[in-house]
Amino acid sequence: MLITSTMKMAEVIIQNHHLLSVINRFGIQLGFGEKSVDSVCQQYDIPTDFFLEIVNSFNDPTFYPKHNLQLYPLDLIVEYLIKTHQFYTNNKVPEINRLIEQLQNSSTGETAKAVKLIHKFFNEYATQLVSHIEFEEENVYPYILKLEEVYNSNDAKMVTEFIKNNDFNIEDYATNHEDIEEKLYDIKNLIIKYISPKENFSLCFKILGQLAHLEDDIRDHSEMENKIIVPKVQLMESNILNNK
Amino acid sequence: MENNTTIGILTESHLISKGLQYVLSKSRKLSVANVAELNSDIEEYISFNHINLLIVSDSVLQNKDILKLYKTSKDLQFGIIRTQNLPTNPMFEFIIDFGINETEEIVNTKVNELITKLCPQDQVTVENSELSKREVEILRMVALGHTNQVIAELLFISIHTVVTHRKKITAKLGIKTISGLTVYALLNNIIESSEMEELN
Repeated sequence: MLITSTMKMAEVIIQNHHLLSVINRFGIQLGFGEKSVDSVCQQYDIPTDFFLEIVNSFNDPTFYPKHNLQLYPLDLIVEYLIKTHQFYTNNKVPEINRLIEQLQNSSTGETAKAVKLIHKFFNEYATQLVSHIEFEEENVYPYILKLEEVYNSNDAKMVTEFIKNNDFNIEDYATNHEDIEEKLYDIKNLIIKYISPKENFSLCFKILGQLAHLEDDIRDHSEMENKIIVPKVQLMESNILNNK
Repeated sequence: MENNTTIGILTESHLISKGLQYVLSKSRKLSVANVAELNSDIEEYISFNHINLLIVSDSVLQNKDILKLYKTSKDLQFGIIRTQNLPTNPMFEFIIDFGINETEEIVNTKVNELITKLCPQDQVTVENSELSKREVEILRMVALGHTNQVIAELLFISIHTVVTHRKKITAKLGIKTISGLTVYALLNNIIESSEMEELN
């Protein structure tokens, strides 16, 4: 279903409660009463079109952005991506970790052994995720924001300076989330196939739900990077170099 | 390895496009990227989204750009959905051929045939999903942290053969990463945790 500006914000969340985490990244709090998407966006000072592109992409994986997200300034998109990082590291990963720990503590025998291995695997995954996030926030995003600033300045001196001092290139930054996504997939697969906690079914069920949610969210996140940020930055890079 | 076919759908009808997307995406092995509009730069869209199979409706097929695309793109395969029973240029070869009025059964059969054609290596059924002795041997070495190069040398086989075995292991188990394979090996006593500790 396509989400539009005139829909009630409450309706949007009712039809897909996973969007709660998305609106949270925009700083939007619950309790919007009968307000429309548009008026809630205005209240929080968020460009409504941008908001719609994001929630629709998230809501329907086959959604093709109409206004083209590439039209929006990169700082808006980067800010959103940083908030999704925070959601992973501050909420999602600790939550899953806590659930696996609970499962480990309440399992015995063979199951306990298996859960312990999966727990170790998940920790390895989490460490990799964190270092990936750190790399993006310390290297990639600052570069992108600087590039955009220089690009928009139309200041020849700034441009020359930038080219001279910069050795980063978006091409070097392989937006390779593949391994991260594959690990998550494997964890899910191993739990389904090899853990049979008779007394802890609901705990297992919760863990799988959380893992699937994280998996979907990360897929959406890398789509934004690969389909919006990379091409836009490539275009700016080549324009800057050609006008040198 | 996961099959990496991405399907693009190009038709003027939103309903047909969504419907096709629905039947194709029931299989996780196929990913579908909707091609936006006929008048956008199709070629660029296709290369950008790594589309290797384009399904078009017969009305779109009349378009000169599509014919040109067919002639110039060697790696792009084509499929058709016949909406108006228009005659098609005999030079076109289609890997999949849907009719607009086909039943669910026929459509599903065609989709399954398509998957078989696109990823024969993934045709692992429950009956043959057990690992062979050789595969267990290789899985053991992978779990112990050996590279393909080392495994090839230890077993006196080519790297290419190691890679083929690893692909089969992944297809059979549905586990893609080395860490995942290691957990599998430990869970199934293919390696002992003491062996892992020796490594560390």
